[in-house]
Amino acid sequence: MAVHDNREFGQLFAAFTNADVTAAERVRLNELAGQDVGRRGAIAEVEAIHELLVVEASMRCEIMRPVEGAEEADESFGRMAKAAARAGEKMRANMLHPTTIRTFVQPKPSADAGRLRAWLYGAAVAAVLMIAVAIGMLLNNNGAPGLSGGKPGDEVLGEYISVTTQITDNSRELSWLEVKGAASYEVSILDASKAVVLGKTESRRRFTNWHLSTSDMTLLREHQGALFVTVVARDRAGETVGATREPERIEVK
Amino acid sequence: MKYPSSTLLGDRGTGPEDQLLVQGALRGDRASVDAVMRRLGCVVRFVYRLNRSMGYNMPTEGLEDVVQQVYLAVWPRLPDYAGTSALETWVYGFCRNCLRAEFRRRASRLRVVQTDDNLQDHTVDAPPPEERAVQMESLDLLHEELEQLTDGDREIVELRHLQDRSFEQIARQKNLPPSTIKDRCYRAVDKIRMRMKRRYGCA
Repeated sequence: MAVHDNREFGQLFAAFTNADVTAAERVRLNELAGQDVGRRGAIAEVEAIHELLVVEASMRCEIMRPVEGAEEADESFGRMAKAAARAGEKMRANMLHPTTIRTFVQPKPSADAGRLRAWLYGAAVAAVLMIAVAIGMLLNNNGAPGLSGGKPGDEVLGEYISVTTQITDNSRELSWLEVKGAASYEVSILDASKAVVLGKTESRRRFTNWHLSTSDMTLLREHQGALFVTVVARDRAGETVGATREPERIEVK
Repeated sequence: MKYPSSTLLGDRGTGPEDQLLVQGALRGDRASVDAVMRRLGCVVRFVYRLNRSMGYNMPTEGLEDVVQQVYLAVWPRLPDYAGTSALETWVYGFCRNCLRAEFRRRASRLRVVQTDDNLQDHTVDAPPPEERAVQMESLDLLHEELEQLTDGDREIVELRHLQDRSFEQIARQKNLPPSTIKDRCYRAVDKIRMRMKRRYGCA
């Protein structure tokens, strides 16, 4: 009897958890639970989860319905939409100009001990020769161009920076995503001849947007001809760790 | 995956179609990028409405931060989007998590500030009624537990319990036998029940 009860309770409980029981099965489930605290507790817990799921479903339906005119007219909604536009512009720039990060993959040494020893011996000889050549080049460097020792494509170029290219009175800023390892950013607005019209250097890692002042905007508006922007990220040592691929045309509205 | 219009009116696409769209955008295809960006416009209304529905009542500057945080959170995760639900449904989870995190951050700051008698910071409006706050807290817990499930199990639970689909419909969609879907659905909800019981003493 108890074994049968257990099996029947288990099957009905699973169906109940799946919200897949008839009214009669629900009554039977309660009968089988009887005064068993564990069973009654489990049923109550599932009921509580079901109630939450109903509330969640109703809330999702409410949240996901199309936007209404009254909401769009709300100042708060408008400000949020502008924040979304700014963030979206950055994401869009990143999608259209994917960041390039080059990495090295260290080849795994052979498991064969004899080959490994030979490889190590060869590598040691090669290292000694390379050091000797490097010392020779340092001592005899007369400024003549030389070939890089690395294979093409192995050099680490840093990250390409994508920058927003539209400036309006409502959004008077140029922005880009933070570059890993950057300690400062140099931002330049150039004219068609690549002469700097406006420039800014900030030694802050988190400086990833340049808010233009009213006078900056006036200057840019009065400029005749196309304008371009470049951003260069440098690390603490002043080495370039990222840059715009090429000067990007900006639009001042 | 077509959602009934009565449940997810905001969804325009289907999971697998949306996944293709996202993959195209990540390859830099301009039309796909434009489409994804249009679809992500849902972030504003989701955050705006969740703020009210959850009773957070955060000020606008906080909501602006949340909107930007959602974009920042979504961007690195886009390659992980598996298309098990429509893009908006996937983004909804980010909106909810970012809003909750910002609310908690502000609430903890408020608590710290309120201990100082000399300062009165009204970062967060008056707390919502007790009952509603408890319900919203429970919903947050449920949401956390749903996120703990595998993508496949969560999809089944959501289709069954949030979108009121029959097991036969889900089985056809997933190309699996109804008995398998029933079993997975039961195990997933039971896992939520057991975890909530362990964590909070009751479900």
